[in-house]
Amino acid sequence: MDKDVLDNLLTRRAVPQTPGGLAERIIEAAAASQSGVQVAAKPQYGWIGTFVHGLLLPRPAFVLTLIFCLGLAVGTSSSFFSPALDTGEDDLSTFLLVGDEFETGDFS
Amino acid sequence: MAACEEDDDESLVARICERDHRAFATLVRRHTDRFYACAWRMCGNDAQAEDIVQDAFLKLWARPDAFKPDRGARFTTWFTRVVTNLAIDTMRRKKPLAAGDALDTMAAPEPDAEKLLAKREEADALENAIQALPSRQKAALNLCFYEGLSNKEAAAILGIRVKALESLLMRAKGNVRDTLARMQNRTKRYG
Repeated sequence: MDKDVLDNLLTRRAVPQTPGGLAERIIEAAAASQSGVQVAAKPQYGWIGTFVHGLLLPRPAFVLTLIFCLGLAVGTSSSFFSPALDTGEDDLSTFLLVGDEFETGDFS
Repeated sequence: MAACEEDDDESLVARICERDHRAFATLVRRHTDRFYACAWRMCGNDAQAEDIVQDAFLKLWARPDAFKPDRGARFTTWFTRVVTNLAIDTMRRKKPLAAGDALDTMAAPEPDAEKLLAKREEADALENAIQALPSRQKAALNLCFYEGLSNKEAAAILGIRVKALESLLMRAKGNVRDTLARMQNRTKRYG
């Protein structure tokens, strides 16, 4: 198809008429939303409200940051909750002992 | 201060920032047809276009300060961006139209039925070819061809460089041309 033919065709592209009363419906909807805002004013709960609002989607960054911080807190305090896990020294000795056994092995 | 029919768009938006509902009504009445057409060209569907225009104007009513006239932008250019982005979002969320749906509601029958049929088939084919384009190509075509925007303005609306816009336009036209050629071949073969 020739470029001019296509341009001519594109120029003649039709669009249906705007549905009757669309503008008035939009104007009424805006007026209704305005009165709605006045009637149901945003409740004030201070920082608790802000925090809870922060948890509502779509705010994944806030939720992920919170989860990360909680993870850090739990991770760093795990020794406090279960001291038995904090046996790094013993584990290291065992490992070194295995190393010694290798050194003194029979290579002949 | 009452909103006046002669006020320019930017002054009306300034009044909307002061919650002047009459200014909002004036702006809506002035531009509904234009932006309905803009939305319809993007989605090819009456109900979706209506929703998009309504959403866009209600967003303006809720946050009129989002328009910054001090940056030298015209209201119509900025609002075209709002409508175009809403249309792209809507098309991402909703299933695209099946071929042939686009112009089902076109009105104005003509007395000569054969002429009407040929015209309608041509219009249907063109509309289906355009609606089948990827959303950014379609947006580029609509903005440059029908919204009367310069390439620079259209590129700014799409958040791309002028060169990239020109490339999108070329691909859009090429795709429309190919689709129409395919349709013509099919008609010749089976019709």
